[in-house]
Amino acid sequence: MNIDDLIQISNLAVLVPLLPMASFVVLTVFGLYKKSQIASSISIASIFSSFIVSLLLLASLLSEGNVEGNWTWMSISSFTFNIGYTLDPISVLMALLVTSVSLSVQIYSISYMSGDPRYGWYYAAHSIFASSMLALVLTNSLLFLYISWELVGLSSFLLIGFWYEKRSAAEAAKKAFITTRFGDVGLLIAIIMLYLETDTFHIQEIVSNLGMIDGSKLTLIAFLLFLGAMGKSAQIPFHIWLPDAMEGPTPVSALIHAATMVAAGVFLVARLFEIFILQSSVLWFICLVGVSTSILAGFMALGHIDFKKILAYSTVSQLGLMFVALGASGLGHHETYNSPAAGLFHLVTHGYFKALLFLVAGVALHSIHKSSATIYEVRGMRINAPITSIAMLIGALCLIGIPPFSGFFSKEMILAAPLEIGGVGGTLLFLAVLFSCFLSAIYMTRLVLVVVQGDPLVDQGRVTDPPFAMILPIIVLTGTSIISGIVLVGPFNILGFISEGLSFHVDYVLASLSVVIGVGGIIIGLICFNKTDKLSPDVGRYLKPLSVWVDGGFYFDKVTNWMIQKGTLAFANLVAVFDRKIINDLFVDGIGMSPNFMGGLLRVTQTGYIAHYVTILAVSVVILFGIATLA
Amino acid sequence: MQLFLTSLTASIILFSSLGVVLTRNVVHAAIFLLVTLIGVSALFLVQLAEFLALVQILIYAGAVIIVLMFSIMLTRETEQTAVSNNTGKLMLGGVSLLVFAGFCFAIFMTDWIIADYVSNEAGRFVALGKALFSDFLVPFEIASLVLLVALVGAVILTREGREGA
Amino acid sequence: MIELQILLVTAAAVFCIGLYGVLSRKNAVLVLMSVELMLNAVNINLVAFSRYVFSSNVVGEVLVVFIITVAAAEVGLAMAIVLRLFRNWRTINLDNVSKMKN
Repeated sequence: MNIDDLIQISNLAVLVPLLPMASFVVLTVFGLYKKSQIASSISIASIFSSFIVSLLLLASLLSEGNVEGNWTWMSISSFTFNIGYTLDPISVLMALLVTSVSLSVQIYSISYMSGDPRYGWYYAAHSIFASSMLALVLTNSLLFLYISWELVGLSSFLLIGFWYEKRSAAEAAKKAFITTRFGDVGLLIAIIMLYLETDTFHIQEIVSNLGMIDGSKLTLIAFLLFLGAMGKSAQIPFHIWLPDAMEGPTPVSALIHAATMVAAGVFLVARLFEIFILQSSVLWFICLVGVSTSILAGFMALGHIDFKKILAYSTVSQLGLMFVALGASGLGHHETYNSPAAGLFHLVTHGYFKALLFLVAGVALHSIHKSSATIYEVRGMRINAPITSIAMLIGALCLIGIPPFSGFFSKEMILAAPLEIGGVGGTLLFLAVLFSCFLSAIYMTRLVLVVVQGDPLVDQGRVTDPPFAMILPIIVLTGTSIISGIVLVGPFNILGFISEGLSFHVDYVLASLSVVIGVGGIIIGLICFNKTDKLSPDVGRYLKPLSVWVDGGFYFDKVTNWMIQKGTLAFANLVAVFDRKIINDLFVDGIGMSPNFMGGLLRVTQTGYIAHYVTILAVSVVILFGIATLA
Repeated sequence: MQLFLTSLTASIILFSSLGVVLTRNVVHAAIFLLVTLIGVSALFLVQLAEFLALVQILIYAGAVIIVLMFSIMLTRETEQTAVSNNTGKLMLGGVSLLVFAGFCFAIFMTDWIIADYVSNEAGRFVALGKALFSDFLVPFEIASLVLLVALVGAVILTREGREGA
Repeated sequence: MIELQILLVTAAAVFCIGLYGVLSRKNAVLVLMSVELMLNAVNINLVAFSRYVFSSNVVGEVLVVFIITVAAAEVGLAMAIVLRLFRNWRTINLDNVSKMKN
């Protein structure tokens, strides 16, 4: 590699994950995390630099097209592991999303986390979180992707359990780590299988060599990969960790829900979309998981009263929609949508408005000095926090999908994807997605109504607009939430960006249908939740059986616990029975019993009559004598 | 002459030993045994094993028979039947005859090589004594130890007052 | 030649008679007597071989001496056991003494 190659602007890509990693190393190794101001400065500076570099990379990508850099990482006899980056629309888009959201969240955290005894450590963990996620999106090697994938899990563990003195926080961190682990195993197996089949970890090479792999094996690989994505992106039945992850500081939730942790699963499917594209069974499975997750999580969001939990379930629901978009795009016969664009588009827009909503929630919680609160505790936000309230309203409108806010465009694409499949399945899927959008409209209306409206509780602190350092990221994110949709479909043309030659076209029937559904949801929400603390009596009567289920989180936690406990118990019993019956009874006692048994057999010969013994002796002598003579 | 004496003593031995196992009276059996043992002694004498004949008289006819008589008297066993049922008796007799047939088969099928009888001047007495105290010294001493142990054992076994302890 | 065989057959016969006695008798003392018969049969055999087959040495006769010794010891011990038996069981019928414990 000569010097000219090195000074390519695209090679700056390595800096994107390396800068936050350097920040992490500096903060931890040199003990700087003890000095709060320095720690936050270093961390924010590094992520800001990464953001700038990402913008440069975008410019480079637009001018030079896809680039990749590849270096030999290690070479062990015949095995050569390469490490490198790939600059393509997906990775640059993700890098921009991650850096911008991380930057906003970190700036926001300056005052949110001020006074915390582990302030510096918080920034160190944020740095490694951003670094590993950036490495995940930029790498061109599946092996390195997996390493980053696990690092993301580790950092989310650190941040969810940031207040590890709290038992629930420690438990939540463990839960997140262990639950995602189930999916990770699938991912690891899939990566190993891909390596065995194609002899490389290089993603592009794997994709171009897919023809070498026979169909059923490829289906299995795709399924296992999706298993990994399910774990990270909190799809049923792995969604149980995400609501619990609310135990971490609220900005961490914003990061996890918007740009880093949960985005990894969607990103994985999008990145390896070519593997999935021909596996219609897996794609249908993805759609099914996505849509059921989406609807169930929608109900759960409707049933909860905890501010952050509502947002968490809304995230799960939206992630489900992203997977539906990905699955349906793969299944679609129309070539327009045979790309991961729709899912990624929603990932980006959702990333911005969900980060916004979480930061708003953070403002509310910060004002009343609690780490979690019900939506009724933070009522009356409009009185003292007008800016925050407006930001929240815009975030909600984005999520509901009202034009011209970003969610409208991405949801429109998601709705279009199942229609491309056609047939009964596609129609049903379309209706289910529509229903999920409808649900999201209702629960967001409820959230905004309760929080913004009403009078503040007397004994609680009032929600006020926060200091500048906190309001700035909110304003910026509000701005991106508003414009990201328009920019990405209009001047930027995300479809053509991700899959060349495609362009966004608004299906007006679909668009109006989506708007009607959204507005309908809002109206129903207004009717049901206006001026009442709870569900209005009429609707409440119908929803009562549902609310029981919702309160129990559809019993996923219970079932999981039951399965784990019973499963462990059953296995333990099996082992115990094995130990008792096989080891103890058969081997230990058996060894003792066998001489007893043999003795019992031989005892028959021991009559105690000497005459018998002598007779046997004499006969034996004759027989032996006969044998000796004849032989 | 020797053949005649051999046959005579052999027949005495046979009949008296049959008497031992067939008589119902224990004391008669002991008497028959005594006759048998003396017959064996005579046979030894006929076969030029004078020392053994002497030992046979001393130990068997003297010591063993006396001990047996003592135990008969001390136990006063009243049961006098040999075997209670004839079937069992016949079966056991069959077994014994089978063994005897085996022996006879071996005896008559073997091609015996008869060595010349070597009789040195000192006679078998001296040769036997020399053998006992040279080649067989260790077994001889062990035999004396066996006798001692048997003596002690017999004393301990028959001692009164320790049973059940 | 014929004398050897007479001796061997006699010994075999006495041995089998003794065997029959051991098998059929119930009285411990009588069983002992039968054992003595068998021992004497062996002695006759040994003497016969010593006289006619291995006449160059006296090993057969030495063995007879040992057998007599052992037989004497055996009778002494056996009688002690029989007396003990009789004291414990009030019988010396072996069929009644078929257990280790009374």
